[in-house]
Amino acid sequence: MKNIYGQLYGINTVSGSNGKAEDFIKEKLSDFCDEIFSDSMGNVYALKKGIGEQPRRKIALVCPFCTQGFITRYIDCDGKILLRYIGEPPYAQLCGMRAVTENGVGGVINCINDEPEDAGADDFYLDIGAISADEVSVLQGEFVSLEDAPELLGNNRLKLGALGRKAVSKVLFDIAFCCGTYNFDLYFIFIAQHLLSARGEICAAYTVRPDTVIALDLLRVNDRQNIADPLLAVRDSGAVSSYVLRQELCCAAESIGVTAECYAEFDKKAPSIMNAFAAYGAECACVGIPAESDGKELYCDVRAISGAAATVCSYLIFEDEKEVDKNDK
Amino acid sequence: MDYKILEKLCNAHGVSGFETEIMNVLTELIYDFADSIEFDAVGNLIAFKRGTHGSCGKRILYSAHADEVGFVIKHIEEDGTLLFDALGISVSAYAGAHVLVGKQRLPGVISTKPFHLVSEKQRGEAIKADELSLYIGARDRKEAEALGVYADYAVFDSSYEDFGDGMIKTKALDDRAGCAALVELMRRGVKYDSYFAFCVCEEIGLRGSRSVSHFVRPDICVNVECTTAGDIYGVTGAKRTCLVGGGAVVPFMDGASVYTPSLYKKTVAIAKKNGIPVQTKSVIAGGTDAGSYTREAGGCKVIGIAVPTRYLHSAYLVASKSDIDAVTALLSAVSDNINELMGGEEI
Repeated sequence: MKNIYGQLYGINTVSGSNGKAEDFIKEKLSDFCDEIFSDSMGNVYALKKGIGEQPRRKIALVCPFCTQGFITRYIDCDGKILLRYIGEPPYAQLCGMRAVTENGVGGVINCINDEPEDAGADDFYLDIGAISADEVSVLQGEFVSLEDAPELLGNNRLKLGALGRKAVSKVLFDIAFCCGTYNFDLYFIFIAQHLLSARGEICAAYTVRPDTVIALDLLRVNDRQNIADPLLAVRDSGAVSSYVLRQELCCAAESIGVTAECYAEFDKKAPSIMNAFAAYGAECACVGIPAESDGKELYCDVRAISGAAATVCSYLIFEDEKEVDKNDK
Repeated sequence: MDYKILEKLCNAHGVSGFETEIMNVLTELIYDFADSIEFDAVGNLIAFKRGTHGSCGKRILYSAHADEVGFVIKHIEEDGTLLFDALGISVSAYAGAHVLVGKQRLPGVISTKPFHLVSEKQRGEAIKADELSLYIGARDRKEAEALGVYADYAVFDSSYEDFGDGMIKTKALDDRAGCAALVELMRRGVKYDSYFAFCVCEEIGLRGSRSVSHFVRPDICVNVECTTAGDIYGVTGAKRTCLVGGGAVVPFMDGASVYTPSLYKKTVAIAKKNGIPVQTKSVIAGGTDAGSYTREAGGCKVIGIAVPTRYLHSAYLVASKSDIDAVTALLSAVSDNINELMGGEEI
């Protein structure tokens, strides 16, 4: 897959690994943004500076750019590479999946427990076919990523595989490629360590202190007929989105013929993107890409991703007009 | 390591939230070696020391926490017994323990449940914390109140002792060992201008270090701690976590932080290059002040160095002097190479 999903899948961004995200984002966005930088957490910031005098309003588009994976914690005497899983439950589906270490050593994930359904985050190991620790060249502290490529199926369906939430970052790339220059500073923030209790968001909120935040996230939906349109999340596990901002996004969507309905359910266990930004006083909303599961795999509709990008672009144009009116006054 | 300093630090009292005594001891120890000493609003001691090479353009922080696990007296019963909350200690570690209460160091004993009151079924069960009390010899509430113990602290009554072959047993090794390593580094001198933070309230949620993050705004932090070693009877393989006598522990991850991956590898490389015994941890659990430094005030790069310690958060922590010396040596080596660590150069 040479398209962007394949490219996104190709970079190792296991949560906590501080991988090659910055290089990839610089390669994609350096022609479209004025500054690209990262912080010690691994967050990558792409800034499109606004026109007009300072202080300018700051709008941030935020999405997680890390994936589930493992970190090597111990090499057993019989060659098993014991792992700690970094990601969200359920864990049972991980057994039998192929994985690869930072240094390219491949293997299969297995569970120490006889009952994988009862497995915890520390109950997995990577089997590379070694029968003793001497045969293993993997080091403790090495990250291990899942080899499960995304797949574009028929009817605009995207099987997310190991890509997970990172697929949503396509919205940010789409917006960056086509958006103009506005009367406010526009930050594209690619969040690291989201799966580790939303640590990246805490750093990003402090670094940027945006006035407005639009978070982009996957929303797991159950039995929803239509997953081709983006959703406007009313809340996540840590914050409630701004009613006014939700209405503005809804109108922005309508103005370009996109349907963006409000969605009130949320995953209590999933880390919150909005919480840290709200704590610093930002007005927050979340545009969600609906994703459904067949019990094993997670799927979304690529039209929802395009719809989300179009909605946010439309919103940015409306906000720019407001800033112009404000400046004229 | 000057073990007289470590002994002084371990014997001082400093339960989370009651760190005055330990901070006084630390101030006295670093007074002649620091260029400035201040306390922030929550009680952290933050010292600044000029380096022999001046500033490297980055803000460097060395951190250890000064508080220890202990108890807070929350109620006095009519019969003079005290009810308490344990800060950072599990019940199995303090039932029947000897303690010292407050600045007066009043001796006391934490109760156990009398044997005749324990049913057959209960004998296999864990003791419940709310069934325990602390007895200081007061005959009634009035006598206890007159001693001024309400809302005071209590610590384990166990002082520093050498034993065995180069081993130490003491209360509060976590993290007075880290504090001692920082004091040694200050006395030895540093290459570049650096901050040294002795934090409060780590044991009750990394609270002091959050304030230090905003006060110092470091670019890089070296956090020195004690970490749990599970190499005891009945524990095998990965569950041992790390080994006493195995050298300085350089962790790659714990429950609160992912240590900067590139710096983790470089720190291990520095240790090996300098012939310092080094190991890492095989269990990811717990959390240290590094959790604050990675995420507060925009975050910073973090290295962890730890002393493998048995029986953490109990009356007697056990560690090997060889490990403490390895931690001190590694801290010194990291300090000498800090500019290269930040600059991305190969060690």
